[in-house]
Amino acid sequence: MKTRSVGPYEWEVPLGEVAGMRVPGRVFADADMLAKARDDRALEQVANVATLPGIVRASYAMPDIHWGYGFAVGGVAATDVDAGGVISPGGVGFDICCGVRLLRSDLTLDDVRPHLVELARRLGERIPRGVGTKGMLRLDREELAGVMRDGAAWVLAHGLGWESDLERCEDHGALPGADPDAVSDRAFDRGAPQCGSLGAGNHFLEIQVVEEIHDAAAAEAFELSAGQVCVMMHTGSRGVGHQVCTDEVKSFDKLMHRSKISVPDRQLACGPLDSPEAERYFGAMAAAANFARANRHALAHETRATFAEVVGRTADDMGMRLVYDVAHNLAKIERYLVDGRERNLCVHRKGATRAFGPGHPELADRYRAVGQPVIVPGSMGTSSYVLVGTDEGRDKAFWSTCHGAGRAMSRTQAKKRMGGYQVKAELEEAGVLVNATHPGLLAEEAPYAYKDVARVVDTCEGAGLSRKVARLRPLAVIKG
Amino acid sequence: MPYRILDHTADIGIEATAPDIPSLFSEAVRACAAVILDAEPAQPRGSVPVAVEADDLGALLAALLVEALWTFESTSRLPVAAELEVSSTTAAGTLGVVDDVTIGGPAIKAVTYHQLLVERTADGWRAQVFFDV
Repeated sequence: MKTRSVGPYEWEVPLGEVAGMRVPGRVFADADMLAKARDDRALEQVANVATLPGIVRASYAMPDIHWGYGFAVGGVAATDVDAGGVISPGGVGFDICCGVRLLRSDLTLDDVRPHLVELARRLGERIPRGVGTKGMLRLDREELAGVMRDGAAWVLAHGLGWESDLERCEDHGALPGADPDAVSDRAFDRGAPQCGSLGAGNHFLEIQVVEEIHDAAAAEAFELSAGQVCVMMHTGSRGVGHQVCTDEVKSFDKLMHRSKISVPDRQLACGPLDSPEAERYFGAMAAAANFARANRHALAHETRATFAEVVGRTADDMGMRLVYDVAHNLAKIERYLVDGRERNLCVHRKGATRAFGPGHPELADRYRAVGQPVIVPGSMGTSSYVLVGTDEGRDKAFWSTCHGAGRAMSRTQAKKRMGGYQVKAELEEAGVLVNATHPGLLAEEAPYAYKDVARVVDTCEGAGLSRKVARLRPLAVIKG
Repeated sequence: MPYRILDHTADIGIEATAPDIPSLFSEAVRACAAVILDAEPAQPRGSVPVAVEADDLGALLAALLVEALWTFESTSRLPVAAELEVSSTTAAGTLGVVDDVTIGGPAIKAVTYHQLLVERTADGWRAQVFFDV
């Protein structure tokens, strides 16, 4: 796969590298990251995405890119709604609206240190997690439809969380256009017992401390300061999203035969945005996205309640306000100037985070002057970051940036290097408490299985996609 | 080796081989169980009915594995084999299941169509499926 440098940390995969490419590939990476992306076939996937009908400007890849299924993880693709563009369920992924939520607090490390072991133990008990575990909320079909329509606001209306949470959440806690009637019975069955649960795999809840501030003005707007304790949670739409994507990839695979659309990988199955299938998928995707927002909202409530119980102060008194809640697997209709004309685009972000720059009208008043907060979880035991969107990000990659460190090693390779219990021991030796339901599985998510998150966020900054605001160090990890 | 686990940077895949399609599909179910257990699955101790439809053999196998995963999620009984009658667009019969399993591998979220393959070989049939984990 040929590439050529087109700017700092910016590489182009030229047209013609894969038959049918309509736009070039554009990869934001340093030379080592680019070489890894070539080795693990992610570059080929970037070129494959460039064949989607209606794609504009480029098929983009963020610095945390790695081999995915269909789309590379770290991929961004925008299609023109009014000029034959398509939507691809595989371009969103199975964990629809998987994302990250960050709670800040007024607590310092000294305030929390005497309680840390008990906090990790009680969060482990109170936060439902792991395979097959039931969530905090047991919903009947009507209630679940309400969650799908109203997202975090449904949970708030039922007494959990704070009113201020909604304005500090992407889409104010609910993506418009959700249609519970477009969601299959099986997706309802899978979701009914799972709202308010963390899940397994790379999902986690972490107690962290702000170690370093990089941008004082943005940090002040985000209410972050050095030495302050925060809680980060990473989870998604659980079985609802998995089932919606399963149903819709199958449906779009059939539609492609009828529409005579050809793509290089069946998981890129897609359909015209003006088709009934696309309308149904968008409604179902938004419903699953809203389930994910509600899920993280409920978990944040439980986290506040646990801190209140263990520390002995109210969550309000501890200032446990939301910084932001971002999605990193989603397709959204956004408006951009392309080739001199304002267009409605369907922006697919698969393992990439929206990062609106300063002044964007969709941002809450408190963030409009500085830009959108972006929450980037590190790998277990390494730093996480808060970033902010930039002006130039709009023209770079439709206001998108990275979503995490990005895997560098397969699960099999990671397990060969050391066992899960050894990973736990090494993390605890380094001062990170670990509470995991299956410690034996920790090796699959070990820090060495991921890229260096610091290089990833530095590359995003060097490329102009986002700027660093704060670095957070983990104190305790709760894993499913 | 009738099945093997395929490495993937973020996810995990399986490859199965067999002399005929019903055996191939059964091996794929067994491979899926091996991923979940991170161990060789035991022989089945019970069975549940299954029936799926799709437009081609690849999508048919994907649909069968979706049913196997749903059986595990909804009943905690893990399919480890299948006895099926398979046409080009339908597969029907039973999934052989085991109870009281210990999960030793990653949680499988879904069956993908990425590089999905069911193909004839010189010795019989080969299938390849990647899972989202």
